Amino acid sequence: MTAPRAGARPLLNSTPARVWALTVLCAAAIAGLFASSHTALTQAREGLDVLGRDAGPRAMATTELYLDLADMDARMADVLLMGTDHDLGSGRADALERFEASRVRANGALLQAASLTEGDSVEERNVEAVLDGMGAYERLASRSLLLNDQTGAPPGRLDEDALEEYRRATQLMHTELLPKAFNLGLDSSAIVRQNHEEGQRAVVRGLLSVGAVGAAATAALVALQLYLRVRFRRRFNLFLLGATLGVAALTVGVVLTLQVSIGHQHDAKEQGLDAAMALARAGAIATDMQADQSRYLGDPELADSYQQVYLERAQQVLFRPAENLDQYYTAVDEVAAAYPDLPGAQDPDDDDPGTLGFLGERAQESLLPGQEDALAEVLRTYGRLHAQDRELRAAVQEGDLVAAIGTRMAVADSRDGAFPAYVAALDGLSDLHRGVFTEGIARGDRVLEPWRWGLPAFALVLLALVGFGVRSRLAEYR
Amino acid sequence: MRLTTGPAAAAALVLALTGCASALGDETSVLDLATITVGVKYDQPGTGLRGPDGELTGFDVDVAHDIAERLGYPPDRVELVGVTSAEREDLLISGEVDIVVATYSITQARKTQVTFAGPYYVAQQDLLVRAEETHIDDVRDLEGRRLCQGRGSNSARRITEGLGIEVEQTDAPSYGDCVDALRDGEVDAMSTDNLILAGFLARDPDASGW
Repeated sequence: MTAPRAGARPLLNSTPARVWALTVLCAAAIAGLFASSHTALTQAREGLDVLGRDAGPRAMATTELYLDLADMDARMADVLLMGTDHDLGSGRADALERFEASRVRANGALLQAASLTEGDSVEERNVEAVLDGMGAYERLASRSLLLNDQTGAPPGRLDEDALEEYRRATQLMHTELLPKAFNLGLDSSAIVRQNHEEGQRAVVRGLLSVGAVGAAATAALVALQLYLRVRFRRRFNLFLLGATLGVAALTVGVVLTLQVSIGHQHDAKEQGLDAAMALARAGAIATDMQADQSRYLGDPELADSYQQVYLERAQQVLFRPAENLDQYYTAVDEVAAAYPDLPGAQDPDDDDPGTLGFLGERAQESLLPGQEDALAEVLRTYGRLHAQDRELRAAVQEGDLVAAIGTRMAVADSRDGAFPAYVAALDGLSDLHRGVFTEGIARGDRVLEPWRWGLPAFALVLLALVGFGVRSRLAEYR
Repeated sequence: MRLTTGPAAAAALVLALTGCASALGDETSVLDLATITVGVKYDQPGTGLRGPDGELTGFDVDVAHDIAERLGYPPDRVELVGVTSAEREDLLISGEVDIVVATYSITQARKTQVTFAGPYYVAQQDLLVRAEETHIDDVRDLEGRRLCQGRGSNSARRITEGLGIEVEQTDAPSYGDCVDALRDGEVDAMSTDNLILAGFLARDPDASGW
C-alpha cells in the first residue's frame, strides 16, 4: 500500500468524510450538467444565428447576383430592340432605370459574396473576375447603345456595328459572368449546408453529452440518498429527492429543447432558405429566358440559337420532355391544368422522367399552407408567358416584325406585362418560404431563450437543494 | 475542314458525380478512397484523347487531375478511364467511375440520375464541314444533307426536332468515326460542342480555318 492511499484512507473512513465526498461528487455532476447544457445550448443558438442572420441571408444575396446580371442584359436587349421608339412597352427610360438598379444590386451582391468567400482564394478570384467582367460588359453595352442611337436605328433593326458590340457583350455575360455567378451561388449554398450540417452534428453531440452527464448526476444523487438512508436510518431526504427529480427534469428539458431547436433550424433551412433560393434561381433563369425574345428579334442571324436557348432555359425552370417549342407550349399548359397533380413519372417503365426543373421540383415537395394556391398562380402566369411567346414567334413567321416587337414589349412591360406578372407570382410563393425561414429561426430562438436565465438559476437551485439535504446530517457531527 | 455557324446551344463541360447521401453513412465518400477513378473522353483531341501509348491527355485530363488533387489525390492515386457519351450515366451509377470530367450537357433528365457540380467551361454547339464545302454556311443549309453525331449525344436532335431541319442522321460510335466519315465524304457535317470540333480541326493537317 502506498503512502498517499494510506493517508487518504482514514479520511474516507469517517462518515462525514464520505458524506462530504459524495456531496462534492453530486455538486460536480450538477456543475458538469450545467456546463454541458450551456455549451450545447450555446451551439444551438450560434447555429441559428449563422443560418438566420449571417451565412443564410448572404447566400440568398449571392443567389440573387445571377438574377441581377441576367436582368441587366435583358434590359439592354430591350432598349436596343426599341431603337428610336422610346415609348414601346413601359418605355426606354424605365428599362434604363431598371438596368441601373440591377447593376447597383449586382455590385451589392458581389460585396456579400466577397465577404462570404473570405479566405477562399479561388472564390475570391471568381468574385474579382465577375467584378472586372461587369466593367467590361458595361463598356460594350454602352458602346452598343451609343452606336445604335447615333444611327437612329428603328425598332427591331439594330445598327450592324451596335449589334456586333451587343453580341460581344451578351457573349461575355453568358460565357463568363453568368456561369461564374451561378457557381458562386452554388458555393454559397454549399457553405450554408456545410455550416448547417456541422452545427447540427455539434448539437446532437451536445445533446448526447447532456444526457450522459445528466444520468451520471442522477446516479450520484441516488448514491448519496441511499448512503444517507442506510447510514442514518432515515426514510427519504426530501431535499435530495427534489434535487434528483430536478436533475432529471433539467436533463430531459435541455435534451427536448435541443431537439426542438434542431427541428426548427432544419425546417428553416430546407423548407425556408433552400426553397427560396431554388425559386430565386427559377426567377433568374426565367429573366434570361424572356430576354432571349428580344435577342431573337434583334439578331435575325442568330435567331435560331436564341430560340433554342429560350427552350433550354425554359426547361430549366419547368421541365417536361419536349423537343421543340410547340411541344413545350402544350406541355406547360398540361402542367398548369393538371396541377396539383403532375404529369409524367406515373409509370416506372416509362421514359418520361416526370415534371422537373425548379418549379417542378417545388411542386413535388411537401406543401406549406397557401403554397398550393401560390404555386398554381406561378404556373398559370408561366403558361401565359409562353402563350405570348407563341404569338411572338408566329408573328415572326408571318413576317410581321412590328407585331412581334409589340408582343415582346408587352411581355416585358413593367406595369402589366406577362413577365412581371410571373415574377410577382414567384415572389408571392417565395415570400411564403422566406416566412418559413424567418419563423423557423425565430421559433428556434424562442425555445432556447428561457434557458439563458433558466439554466444557471436551475443549477443554483439544485446545488442549494443538495446543500440543504446534507447540512442537517453533517451538523450531527459538529 | 472548317467550322461553320451552328445552332449555338450552350453545352457545358461539367463534372458529374453520382448523387449519394453521404450522411447515411452506408456510402463511401468520394474523399475516402484508395484511388479515385475518373471518367474522361478518349476520342477527342485536345480535350481527352488516348495516345498510341495508351496514355490519356488533354484539357479534361488536366482538369480531372486538378480536381483530384484538390480532393486529396496525387496523380499516382488517380485512375483515368475512357468513357463514351452513351455510357457516362451507367458507369457513374454502377460505381465503376467515381466522377466524370467531360463534355456533358446538364439536362433535367440527367439530373435525376447524377449530380452535376456546375460548369467549368461553357461550350456551344457547332458544325464541322469539309474545307471544300461551299453550300453549308448555316445550320439551315443542312436541310436534306447527311449529319453525323456521337452516339448518346443530343446534338442532332437539337437540329432536327428543335429547329425542324430534316437531315439524314448517322450515329457513329465515337467522334473520331464521325470525322473519318466526314473526311471520306460519307457525311456532310458533324455536330457537337465547338470545343471538341476545334480539337479535331486543330489536329487535322487539311484544316483551312474556321
